[in-house]
Amino acid sequence: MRHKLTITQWILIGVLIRFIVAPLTMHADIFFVYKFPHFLSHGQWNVYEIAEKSYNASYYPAITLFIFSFFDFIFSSLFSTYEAFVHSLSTTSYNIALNSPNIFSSVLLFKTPYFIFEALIFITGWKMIESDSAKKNFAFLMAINPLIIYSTYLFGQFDLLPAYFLFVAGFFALQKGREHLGSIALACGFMSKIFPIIFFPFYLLVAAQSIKNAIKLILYFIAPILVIYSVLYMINGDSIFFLLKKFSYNLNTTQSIKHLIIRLFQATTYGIICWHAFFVARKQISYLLLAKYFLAIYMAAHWGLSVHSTHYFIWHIPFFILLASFAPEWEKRMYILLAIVFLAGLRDRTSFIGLLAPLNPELFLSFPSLKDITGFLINKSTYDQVIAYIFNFYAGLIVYWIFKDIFSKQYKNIPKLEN
Amino acid sequence: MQFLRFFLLQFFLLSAFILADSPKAVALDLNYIKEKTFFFKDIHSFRGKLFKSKAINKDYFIRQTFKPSCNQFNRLVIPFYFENPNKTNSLTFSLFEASNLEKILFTETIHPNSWGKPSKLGSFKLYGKFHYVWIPPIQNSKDQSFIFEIKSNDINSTTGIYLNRLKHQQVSSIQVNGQELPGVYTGVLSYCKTNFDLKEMTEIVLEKTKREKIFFTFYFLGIAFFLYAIKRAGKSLKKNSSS
Repeated sequence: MRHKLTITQWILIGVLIRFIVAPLTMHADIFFVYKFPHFLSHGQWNVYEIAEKSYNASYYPAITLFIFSFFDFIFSSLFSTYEAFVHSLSTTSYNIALNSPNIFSSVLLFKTPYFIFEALIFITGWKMIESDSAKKNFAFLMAINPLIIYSTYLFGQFDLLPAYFLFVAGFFALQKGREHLGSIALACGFMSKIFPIIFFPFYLLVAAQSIKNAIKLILYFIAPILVIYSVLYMINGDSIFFLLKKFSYNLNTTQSIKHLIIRLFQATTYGIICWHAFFVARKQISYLLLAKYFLAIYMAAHWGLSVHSTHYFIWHIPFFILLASFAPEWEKRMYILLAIVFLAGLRDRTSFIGLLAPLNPELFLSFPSLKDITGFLINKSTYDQVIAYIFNFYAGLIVYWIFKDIFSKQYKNIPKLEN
Repeated sequence: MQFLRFFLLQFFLLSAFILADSPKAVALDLNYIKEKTFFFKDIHSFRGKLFKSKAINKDYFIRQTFKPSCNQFNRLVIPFYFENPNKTNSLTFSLFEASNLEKILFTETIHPNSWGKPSKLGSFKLYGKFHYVWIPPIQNSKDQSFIFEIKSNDINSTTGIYLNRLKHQQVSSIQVNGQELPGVYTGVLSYCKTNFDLKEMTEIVLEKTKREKIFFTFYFLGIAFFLYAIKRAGKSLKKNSSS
């Protein structure tokens, strides 16, 4: 089937699937994504202060705010019905908003920027690949990727944005003379969903050719963050740090044995990848190898993180697809991972059949989730635990496969660097 | 590949073991599923900055007035906090019509000391227990005011409810020992049982789509355009390869 259709056809099929599901499905989170940028598009710059003081909420970092405010401003200017709908989000509840007269068109507009972010990821990946067969694989795997379609176009999560910044940083890491653009991209990634910061030390090792260059890249990373956050601090005060108090990433540093073991494995994986990139393969890093590095770090970072948040897996999907395009054995591995992620993620009603709530909220939110269904048979917490163990084991297996690949013969006889 | 087969085999064996080990597997009851599966959330007040009430005891009880927006109201989820070890033997939940506090619609005894350790509540950094209260569906509950009351006879109780100050259209300020506490609400969630009326369900979908008929005209035109483009992209390839 894959080879019967052209690349153009696969791309069009991908866009069609996304276009069909985008206006009919959503999760409540997408209201949150647009609720606060709407204040900014109305000229209220103290969005973080409003979020904290009036809603006890922490909005995403600055670049996310700016990008969605920009789109919100354009859509509000063009469509009065959209403006009325998004304006009402600050006062109405989820149930009432779902019955709004302009729900479908507004939800499609909400998701329109995602088409752009994904197109940018596609173009970036395209530039990283030279062979035609790998390009076709890449187009196919992107077009019908279940996780991208589910998490982005059915659910409405915006994680393609930070994923794009991380992916483009990977692209610039191997572009001589343009490494500073990768630093800026990572800074933008950090200012859209924080997690890309974990890749910065690794990025420096891969992209910087000298200490002087490393300092330059650090400055390119820090400067935009400092400038943007200084301005926002002057307007919002301490509220811009409220996110750090509330966010739920894998940063628990308690001294329990479980966390210590997880941190130990994570640090070891990170250390091995950095060591390999710097000492073993430094001058022979290709995009294939880079994708493996990013994936190994990502998998390690995910140990201990909630498996239920399906959208977190969007962060690494461009690298996984890139890897599977070059090396077909990774395609099956990716789909097994996605199967585990879906078994873990379809846990509440709003993320399962309830995604069709815009059509008939009462009906579609009534259907049990996968977790409810399994709950009739086994203890719900047992189900969660089993899935978490399977995920952690499989993520470990992926890291093992990557280590096995990168420590294979290809790099064994590379002479050590002179410095 | 062999390893993968081994991994999948282990997965299925583990699943089979969990199923066989579960007492629920034999207690699967179709009536239970029918009665307690198909419901939807109506009130969601577990939000904003949540804080703890005083422990509910002999001298402190809470009443919450709320108004479902749907018929067949059948479930409440009450967020409790409690200390570990839990010293509360029992709480009494009672449901009334707001207009008639004499007539109890439903009552049940809750046993907090059987809850085990407090667990994380949703995505909040709060710990306790979401307690589910299943109520026989109340047919004409839409826009009717109800009151639920949580009481205890314990003196040294260590269990209370999470509260907030975020106004909700369907929830009124709580009463503590019969006195209203303005601007304070419980973080309660309420649900109604689904009425599977095929005609009504279809009408809702049709009405919603009709309201946006211009949008849906463009939507279907867009789908037709993509289908045409996909077909054409295939044809142009055949043409190029034959020439």
